Amino acid sequence: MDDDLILRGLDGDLPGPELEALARWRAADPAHERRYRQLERLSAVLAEQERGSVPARPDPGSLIRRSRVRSRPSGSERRWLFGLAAAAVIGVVGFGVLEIYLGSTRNRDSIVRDLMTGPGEASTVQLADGSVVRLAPDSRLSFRADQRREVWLDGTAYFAVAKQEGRPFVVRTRAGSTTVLGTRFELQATADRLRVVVVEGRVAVENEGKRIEVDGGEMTFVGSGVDPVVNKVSEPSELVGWVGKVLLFRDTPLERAVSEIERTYPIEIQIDDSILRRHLVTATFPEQPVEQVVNTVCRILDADCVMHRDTVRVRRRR
Amino acid sequence: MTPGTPPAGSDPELSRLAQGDECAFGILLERHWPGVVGYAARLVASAEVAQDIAQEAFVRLWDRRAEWTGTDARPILFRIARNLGYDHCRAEAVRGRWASAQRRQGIPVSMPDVGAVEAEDLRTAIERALAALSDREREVVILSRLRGLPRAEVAVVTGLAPGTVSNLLSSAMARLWQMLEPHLGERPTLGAGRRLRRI
Repeated sequence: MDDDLILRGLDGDLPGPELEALARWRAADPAHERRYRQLERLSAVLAEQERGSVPARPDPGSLIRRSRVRSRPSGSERRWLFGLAAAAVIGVVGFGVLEIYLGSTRNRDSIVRDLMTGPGEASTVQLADGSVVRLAPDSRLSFRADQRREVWLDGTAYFAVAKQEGRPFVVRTRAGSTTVLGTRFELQATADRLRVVVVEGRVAVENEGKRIEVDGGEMTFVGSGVDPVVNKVSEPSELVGWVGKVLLFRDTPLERAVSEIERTYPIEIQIDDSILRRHLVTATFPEQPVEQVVNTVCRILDADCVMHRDTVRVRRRR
Repeated sequence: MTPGTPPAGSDPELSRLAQGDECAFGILLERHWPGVVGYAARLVASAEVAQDIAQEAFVRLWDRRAEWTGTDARPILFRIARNLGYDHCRAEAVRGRWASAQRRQGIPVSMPDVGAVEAEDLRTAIERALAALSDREREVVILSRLRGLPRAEVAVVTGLAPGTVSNLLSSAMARLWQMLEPHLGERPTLGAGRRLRRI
């Protein structure tokens, strides 16, 4: 008799004839009965293993509200975007995968969407203009589905803003607003304070009528009653470590992109060609294996890459 | 069937959920919360994260209410929780989910020897024996024997064929018995009238 049939008998999951066969089998030999009792005892102690206090059940209304607030879509509205690593300069598509949340279908182009993250949860969204935002845990980003380059942030987010001449990208927070053209930076916004870390490019921060400009490799704090001071940061990427293995490049010089890849993964990338090094890279890598990141970069560069252990040699294709 | 576990096909509220019936959602939450949060706790080891995962599973059940058919919410919820749990483990770059979880709880994962098992508390011995199973064996044991899901639901949650579920369950139970027999089996005589302690 198969153990699975005995277990199904114990679960009351056997039809009559098989149940009778099981009974006959048990009666035929004391060893059979012993095996039945063993599985019965084992099943009982395993089921008992899960007994214990159960955390309080949440209020159903709070879960439904959570669903509504973050405007998560129904299946038909859910968009999985593959190949988001659009290479703006080079025109080659990479392999990024992002989940984008779109809200109500009504008046879709002007309605404000909300993306919220819970504790321990980070999320990445691509906006209609091509900019990508990595939202840290316990944060909220409101944005529009249309091309308007204006978002609202409560919490922490890392931005990789697509460059569009004459069309600044504005992040509004309760503690001030930040205007950029095309850059990568992190904002930490609370009710009365805003921290700005610029990884690349330049941003303008405004608060209470004061305006201050922050360049790549600099950071500042602004807030009520605080005179903003710009400080140099030796390695801004280290201040945004929470982003994890998500790499966002928007018109990023290859040398800088390589340095971030090397810091994120245990790998060394050698590029001997000065022409290759001048390339700009636009790509999104959401927690992908290093081989995939390297392959995508090589495709963007249209270069030959040879990977040996922890070293990658990149050469211009002849 | 684990006591207190709702039988298969017990969720007629699922069709009302599709109409946006919040009462139906409340009933499903009450019925399946213990099972989902218990299963999530098996996936991630942290009780706090398990609660987050269980809550998120119900939020997604509501989010996608128009998609669900049938009268079984449990396999849907367990599958969502399973995906969330695995995502969480991947995000934390946890190598060997179960092994790490057990290490955090201070439970060794190596195959127990009989002498060591003898002195252990039964509960700990069971955890050690579960940890010694293969990932797939452990998963079907947790779903079938610990959470009380019928084979068909285990197959839906894990994405395995029903026959594979049965085979894995049979082999896992045989191995579990082998490891736990000192705690659960007949009392073997040790000579001079001494017996193994039975818990």
